[in-house]
Amino acid sequence: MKSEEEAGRAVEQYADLVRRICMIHLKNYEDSEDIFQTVFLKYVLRSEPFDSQEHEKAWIIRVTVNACRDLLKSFFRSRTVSLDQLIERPQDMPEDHSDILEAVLELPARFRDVVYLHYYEGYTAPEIGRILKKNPNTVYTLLARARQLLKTKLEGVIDDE
Amino acid sequence: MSNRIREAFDDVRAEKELKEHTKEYLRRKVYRRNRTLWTVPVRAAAAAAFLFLIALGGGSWLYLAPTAYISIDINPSLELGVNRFDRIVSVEGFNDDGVRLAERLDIKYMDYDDALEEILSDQSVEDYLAGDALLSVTVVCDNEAKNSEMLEHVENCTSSHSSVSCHSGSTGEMHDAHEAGLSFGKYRAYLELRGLEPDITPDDIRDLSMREIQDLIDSLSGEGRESSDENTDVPDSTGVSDDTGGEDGHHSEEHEGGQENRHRHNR
Repeated sequence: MKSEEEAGRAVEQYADLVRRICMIHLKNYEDSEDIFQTVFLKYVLRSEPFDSQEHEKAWIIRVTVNACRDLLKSFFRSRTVSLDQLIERPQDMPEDHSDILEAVLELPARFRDVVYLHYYEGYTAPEIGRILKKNPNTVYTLLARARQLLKTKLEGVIDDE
Repeated sequence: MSNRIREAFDDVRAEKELKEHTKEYLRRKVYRRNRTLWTVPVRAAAAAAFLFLIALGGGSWLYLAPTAYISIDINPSLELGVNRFDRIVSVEGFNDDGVRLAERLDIKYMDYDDALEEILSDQSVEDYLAGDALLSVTVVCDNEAKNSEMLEHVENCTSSHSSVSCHSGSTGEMHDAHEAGLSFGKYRAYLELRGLEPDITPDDIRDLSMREIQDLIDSLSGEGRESSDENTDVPDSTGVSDDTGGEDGHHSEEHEGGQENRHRHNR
């Protein structure tokens, strides 16, 4: 088990990362709190040490993504999430970049993680494959397809690379 | 596009309260499980309980600690512990009769005057005193004023009975008595007896009544006088001894008792 100091440091270090993953999967703040608690409790209780900072970060990403998926899959949620909520724009979305964020969030769920991890966290397709336990080729395909979808959505707004 | 996406995500930050809630959750769930228990009211209650226990402990010590002892010896040997409020806080029997009497008596927390009355009116004690028994009451208290006050009380209490002797002593002597396994009253008699018969041990007299011990003392002091006579004039002393036997059968019996006890000791 990790010390309270280590836990505090991890919360400070990875809060933004976990928050962003929550944002791309979940629609409300209460669910994010649940995910934060789940992820950091798992972190604190994990007994094996991490090989490196990178290992630790990748672990946090995988646990967060899985926690979000579990939450969305849960019976209670599947019965109580309203249609309105599903099409609702996340309330905490920043105004300045709302168009691009909106575009990313409107992507089907399987694209969102790879877009975030690739474009924001800078992971390569094989790295994303390792983190999300997906075939690198699948990641390449997902990325290409996501890029395509975003381009269509934001036509005229984005200068493609 | 990547720049735009990066900038867009860069604006998304974990709220301060989200981090605080998470830390608080971990603190509650994993760390300081015990510390959160110790809230101010709980701490105050614990402190109050602790003080109460201390006060209770101190109070019971004040009340339950004997500051004086009264040793009562007939054949039953009893020792009563008396606290600073003149109440009986312990009743201990020092021989079989004493233990039986202590079990039967319900004198704990009584005033020692009343307790003495109660003991003196006990059927077995009355039977002893109606016979030829000797009652010895010994008061032990290191406070001299208290000691004489108690002795006076005890003498008043027992004044209606004949053949009662009252003494007082110190706790040091009483400890010696306890080491020898005797009540203090009997130990005093033992010391007197040992002055006459140095070989006598506490075991020899433990089960004797005060009357028997007193008779032994009397007979030994009598024998001392007789043996000095014997040394000077043998035929005369035999005559004297015969005479005494003839004049006072009781005394002769005591003499035999003394012999018997010494005999038991020699074995």
